[in-house]
Amino acid sequence: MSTWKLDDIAKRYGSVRALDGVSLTIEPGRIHGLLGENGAGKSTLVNILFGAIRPDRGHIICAGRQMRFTSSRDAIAAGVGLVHQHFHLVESFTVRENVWLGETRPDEARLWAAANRLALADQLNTVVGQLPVGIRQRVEILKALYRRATLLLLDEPTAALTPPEVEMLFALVRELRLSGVSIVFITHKLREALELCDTITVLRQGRVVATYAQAAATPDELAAAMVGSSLAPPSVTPPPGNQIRLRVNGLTTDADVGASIRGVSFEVRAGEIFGVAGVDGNGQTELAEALVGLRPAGGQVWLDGAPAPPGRRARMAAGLHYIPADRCRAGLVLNLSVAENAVLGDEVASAWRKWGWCLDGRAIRRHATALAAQFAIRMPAVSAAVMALSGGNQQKLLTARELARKPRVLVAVNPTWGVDIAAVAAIHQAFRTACSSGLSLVLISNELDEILSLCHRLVVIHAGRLSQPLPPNVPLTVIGRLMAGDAHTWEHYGVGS
Amino acid sequence: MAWVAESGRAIVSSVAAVILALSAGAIVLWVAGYAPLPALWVMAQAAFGSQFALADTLIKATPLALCGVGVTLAFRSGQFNIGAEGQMLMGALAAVILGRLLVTGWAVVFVLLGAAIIGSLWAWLAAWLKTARGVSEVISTLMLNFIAFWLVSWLVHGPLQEGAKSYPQTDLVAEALWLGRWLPPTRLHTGVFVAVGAAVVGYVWLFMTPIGLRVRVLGESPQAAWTAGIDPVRTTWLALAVSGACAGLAGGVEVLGVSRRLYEQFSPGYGYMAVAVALLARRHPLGVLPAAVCFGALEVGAAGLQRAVGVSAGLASIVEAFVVLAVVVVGGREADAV
Repeated sequence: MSTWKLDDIAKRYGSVRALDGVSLTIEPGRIHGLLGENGAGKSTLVNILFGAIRPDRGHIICAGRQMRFTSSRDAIAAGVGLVHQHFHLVESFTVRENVWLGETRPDEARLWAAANRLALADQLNTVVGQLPVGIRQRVEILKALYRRATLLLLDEPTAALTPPEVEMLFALVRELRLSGVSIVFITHKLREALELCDTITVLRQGRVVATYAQAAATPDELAAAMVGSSLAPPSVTPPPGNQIRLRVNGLTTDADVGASIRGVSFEVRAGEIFGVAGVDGNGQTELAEALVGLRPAGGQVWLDGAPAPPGRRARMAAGLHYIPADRCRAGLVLNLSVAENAVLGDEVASAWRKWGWCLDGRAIRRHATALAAQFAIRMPAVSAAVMALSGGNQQKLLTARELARKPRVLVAVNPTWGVDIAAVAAIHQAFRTACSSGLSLVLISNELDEILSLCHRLVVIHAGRLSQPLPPNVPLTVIGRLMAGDAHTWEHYGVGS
Repeated sequence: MAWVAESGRAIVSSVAAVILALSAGAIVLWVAGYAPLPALWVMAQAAFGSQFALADTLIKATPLALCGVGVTLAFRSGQFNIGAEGQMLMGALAAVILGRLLVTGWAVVFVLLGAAIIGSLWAWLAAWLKTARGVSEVISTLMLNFIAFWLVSWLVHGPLQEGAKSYPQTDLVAEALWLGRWLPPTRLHTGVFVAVGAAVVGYVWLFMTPIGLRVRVLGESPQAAWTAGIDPVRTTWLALAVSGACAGLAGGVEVLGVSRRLYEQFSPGYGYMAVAVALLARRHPLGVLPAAVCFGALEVGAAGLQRAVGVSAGLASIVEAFVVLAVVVVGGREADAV
């Protein structure tokens, strides 16, 4: 068990300083939180510690010895283990086969010992694809422990977990700490850092802003350190009107990969924010695509009392708009310009045309400039590729584009995923403003905090079913159990009970 | 302006690719026992040294540019259309048949239109196979090239063979249809302007119309296109049909402007070279024009080198292959995108 030190680590990508002289000390047997917004440099730092990226300058020192990692192989040999946010597992292999991938001399006894520590001994012969997400994550930890990791790096480990799974992960991490493993816990969630970590280092724009002992940190202080200024307190969502804007009755649709939607019904009023909480892969995408007309579906969808026409473009014309979950692949086209993306989906509108057939470049650029000004979107130019924008600015562009179309109903899936705090606040504020002038927002999100702070009512989605609508002050344990699919809770809160 | 810097970078890297490829070609020459610099000078003379040389280069560049615009448009829509050769042959076939039926001068327009339509139908076949049955257009367009080639081969040996029956070739098309030679005594014909026109129209279509935007969105991100409500089937059909129309037009222009009849070795592989042209042009319709001239000059220059020094014309193919490799090496991301 040894102390790890990072000394003056710097890394540039082109003109961007991802890391700008970061020094920190990771004490043995401690949980060290690495807190920061997206783009703060957390992932770069972790990849440097894991040997996957070589720093431009600076040293990694372990137990007083300077380490030279030329690849992750060296880092693993030195006792570093990394659990990626997106797991690196072969789903058609068993747990044992996944651990032994790349091992020349498999050691069954060592595997057993490690599996026992993680309560995975019974699952060694199970195919990974059949395991729930929380267990898959533990398989990743098993891989690291089997390779004798003494420094475990967890990159945003709670992103895909249900609240009960998060609890189990925290318990496991605390146990590992007792056995002397040092843990670096990377997160952008204040609450988690405060709950779990012994030490919290805040990164901002590639620099260490502050390091706190757990007891000394307050949420406000941490948030201010992450953002660089204190945030205005969020305003309250105004109460909705009485008119029923969106009515969904017995909606069913088949899934490609996630869960099929099995006959869901709900109503959303004008000005209401209606939350759909749940763990990814329970039919959220399918529900959203069926609502906006992308996915053929049974059942009925009414808009203001009239049946919604089939097809995405027809529903757009009827005022039903969509912010998809994957901004990079589904929402925006990264290689096209900001201006072109600003009219995507609406490119046939007469406002962007001159002489009947020609795109009016000037009008389109003016529109994009107006969106950028309204949402404080930072970009090199409206003619620059969207690729050049940060994740937060991309998401703001997507939100701005859809809200500018004055939707009657907006279906938004994970609209603040991987976005910095300031952008989250801006997007939430935009939603509230739009709703106060009559927008009905269907907010499908895996960020429970987001749903609880924004929504008038919420439902939980699990395996393609919706719970009853719940008020946002419903006990968190109830939501957690519904998200985890607890049969007993579903009996109480499912529809028709 | 960002686009100025961007096109500047694209031009610099394409020019660098050509220079790199020529240097590699020079090394090949040197290894083969020729003095490289004099040889390159002979090539440059043959391609640009006189009015005739320049005309020859532009005549070669014309079908390359038309096919290149077609390939470029298909690439932009995300379809790797390597079937310009077959589409061009079918266009040429249509032109020869129509050129026997229609004999007045104003019918040129209909002959070329017919060539474009048949070329676009040939490409649409591949689009249909892709959208209906999931057949990769890489496979289908390549196979359709073989079908077109052997179809032409059979026709010029059989049903469409000339009246004299001495060579495997068709009769000449009506003289009234021949494209005018506007720079006598060279053979430079008005088809050059058709090529320039196609490049300009292709540019306008791709970058200045809503349909062009949809085509590019589909090419860059099929998922984003689908999410935005863009019909992927119709857009794929349209893009490949327009692409095939350009290649078909190349066949028609080549028949009316140069060969005036159809025979087996009608195309020395213009349709395949067009893929390289489109890559060197960085998938930009206007960039196709200089890229086509570049490849035309290579062809003419290599032929001149063969005449003067006896170097095999295969050298041109080697340099062309180097150009494609160099474009991919120097160009990086954008070349990967297709």
